[in-house]
Amino acid sequence: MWSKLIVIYDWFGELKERLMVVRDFNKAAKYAFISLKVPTLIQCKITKGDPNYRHNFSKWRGGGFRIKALSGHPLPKSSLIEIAKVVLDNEELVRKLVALGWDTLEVHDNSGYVGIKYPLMKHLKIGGYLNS
Amino acid sequence: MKDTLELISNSDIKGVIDNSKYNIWLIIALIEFVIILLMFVKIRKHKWINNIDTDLEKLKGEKSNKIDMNNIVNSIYSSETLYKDLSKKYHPDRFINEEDREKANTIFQEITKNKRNYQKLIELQQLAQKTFKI
Repeated sequence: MWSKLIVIYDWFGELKERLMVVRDFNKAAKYAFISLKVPTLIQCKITKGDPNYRHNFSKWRGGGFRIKALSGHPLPKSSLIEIAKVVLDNEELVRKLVALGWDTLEVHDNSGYVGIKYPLMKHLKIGGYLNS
Repeated sequence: MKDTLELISNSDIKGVIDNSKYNIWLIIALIEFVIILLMFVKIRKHKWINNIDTDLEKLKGEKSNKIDMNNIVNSIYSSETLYKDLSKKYHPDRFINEEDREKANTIFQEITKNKRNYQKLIELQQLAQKTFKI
């Protein structure tokens, strides 16, 4: 009983911070689109994520960080990969995403059915000096 | 006989009084010791709580550190073209002078390292413009 209550409390615990990350991203994308800095509007939202990529900090039904490009036409896979790589190269952002309970990075366009997804845990670079 | 009994009873009373005096001082000492112990514990607790407060404040500060989302959004679309421009312009093979080539080499390494970070690329562009005046 108490353990379940603790799990529920944890689930709601970082909700505000998670929403802030999403809101900041969407706001920045919106202003960049309005000021003609970028050609397409991108939007991010929380999805349930891939259960295969789950880790210990994953949030229940909230592990997916989906970036959606509102391009109006299907984007080639190379540009989807490029968007994902920009996010994955930012180590600070990836660490924050993992710590706040995300486990999957998904990149989609708004008209095509093809999307890509990456496990965030693999791109975290924990124990880099041990691997190198 | 009566006198001896009185003497014995007096001495007993005296002994009891002495014992009670001794007990009172012992109790007072014990109380003082407990008070000192409580004060010591309270001070330790206060210090511990203060430490927790400062740690919590530090944590809150770390949490509120915002990631530059504008940079990420700009990097998605603009970093690739900027990287290509910079890598062509400041490639070490373009410099004949040995000293310039070494400088270009270090800048080029930084450019390739941050090829998907628009803000860093702009900073590196400014640095390269200053050093080579191109």
